[in-house]
Amino acid sequence: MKYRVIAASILILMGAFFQSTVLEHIEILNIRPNLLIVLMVIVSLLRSPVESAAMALLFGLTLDVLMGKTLGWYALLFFLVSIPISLINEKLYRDKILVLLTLTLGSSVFVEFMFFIIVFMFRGYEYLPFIFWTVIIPEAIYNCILILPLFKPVATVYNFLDKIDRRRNRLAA
Amino acid sequence: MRRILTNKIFILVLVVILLLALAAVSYSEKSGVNIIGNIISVPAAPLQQAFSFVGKKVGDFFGYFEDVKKTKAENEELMKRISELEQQILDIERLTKENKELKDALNFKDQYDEFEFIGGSIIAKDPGNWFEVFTINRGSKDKILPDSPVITAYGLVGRVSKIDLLSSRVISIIDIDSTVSARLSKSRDLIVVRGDVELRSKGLCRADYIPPNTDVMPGDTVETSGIGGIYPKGIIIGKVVSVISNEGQYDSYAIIEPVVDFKRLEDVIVLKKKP
Repeated sequence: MKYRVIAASILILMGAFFQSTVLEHIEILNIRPNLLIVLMVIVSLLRSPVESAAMALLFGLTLDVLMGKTLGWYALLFFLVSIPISLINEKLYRDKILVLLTLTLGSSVFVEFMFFIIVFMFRGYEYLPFIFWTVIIPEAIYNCILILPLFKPVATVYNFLDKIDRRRNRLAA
Repeated sequence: MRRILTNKIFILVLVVILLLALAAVSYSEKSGVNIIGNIISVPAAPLQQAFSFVGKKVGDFFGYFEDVKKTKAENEELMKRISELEQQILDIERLTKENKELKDALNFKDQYDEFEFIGGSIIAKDPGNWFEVFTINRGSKDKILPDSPVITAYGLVGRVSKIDLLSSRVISIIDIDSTVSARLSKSRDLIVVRGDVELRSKGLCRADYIPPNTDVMPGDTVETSGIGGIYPKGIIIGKVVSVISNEGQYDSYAIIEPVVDFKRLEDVIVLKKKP
């Protein structure tokens, strides 16, 4: 449990660090990927609903804090997206590229679309088609590319933590 | 009661309600809830600062080879400029003296007298694709105050929105949450400069509420008006790129190109009001 909390904290901090610094340098057409959405999808695919929801909440809250605007919107959206993914994750072939791409694309579009509706449209902005094609879709595609190299390393870390837990439980028994 | 508390749907609804409450409470920039930002920003700030430093050094290293080519041509140009500038310095010294004498005579107060200048470096940019907010390495430990204007040597950058212990968030003038009371330098007409969703990605912003029959042309300079109490008067914001005229009385707007290049911005100055 202790290792799991440390690993989760490192994952969140590294996500925050890369999102606010490194990713700025790999922008294409002024669009950068959203690493925290990608990490949320990966964790939701690998872990139980409770752990996924908790991690999604923290990833979302981290993004809210980094943005420096209203706290809670990304946390809420990440939380709501992670639950259905984690509920069906055992029925999916998680290693299949198509599964990763579909879930990342769907999650990214849903999260950013809803964020736009909540934050911008309620203020009277009416640029939805423009924003959809120039921000939401390119970011979702970018996230799909980012998940491919990231899924395996994160899965390996979680498998390693599971192994440690199993060994400890066996020793305790 | 226990069954209700362990019910998954109940927990789900409770979390959603709590998050909605958090969003409502933190809506104001000055909300006390925003202090939880320190949980992320305090450990992240040294990492961001280190990365920003390394990134700058790597950029400088590669830039060095490119710079050598330019240096020779620039050197010749600069020698010419030096002689011109020497003459200008003499003029400026004379004008400064005259200006001071006239200000003293009129008992004018320098608008920047009430501000303390605090230099800061950008350690992180906005993490998403929606806003134009960045983080600087000055926080409450440097006694930065909310709504302090942020400038560079060229002109207005924005204002401080949220302050953590080691860092602060700055809302730039091209962010959609930014509104600046401004003035056209030529005609002295008051306008409002604000960020725009579409223009943000191009590093531009727009000027609204242009009064009818206002003499506004591409190339005109826009500066802060001093109205509103946040930005001091006379800070250069940018230049008018184009004017879009519509039929309504106040429907015309202008597109403004800020003097500050937000893509390449590295260091800023925070104007802190003296106590």
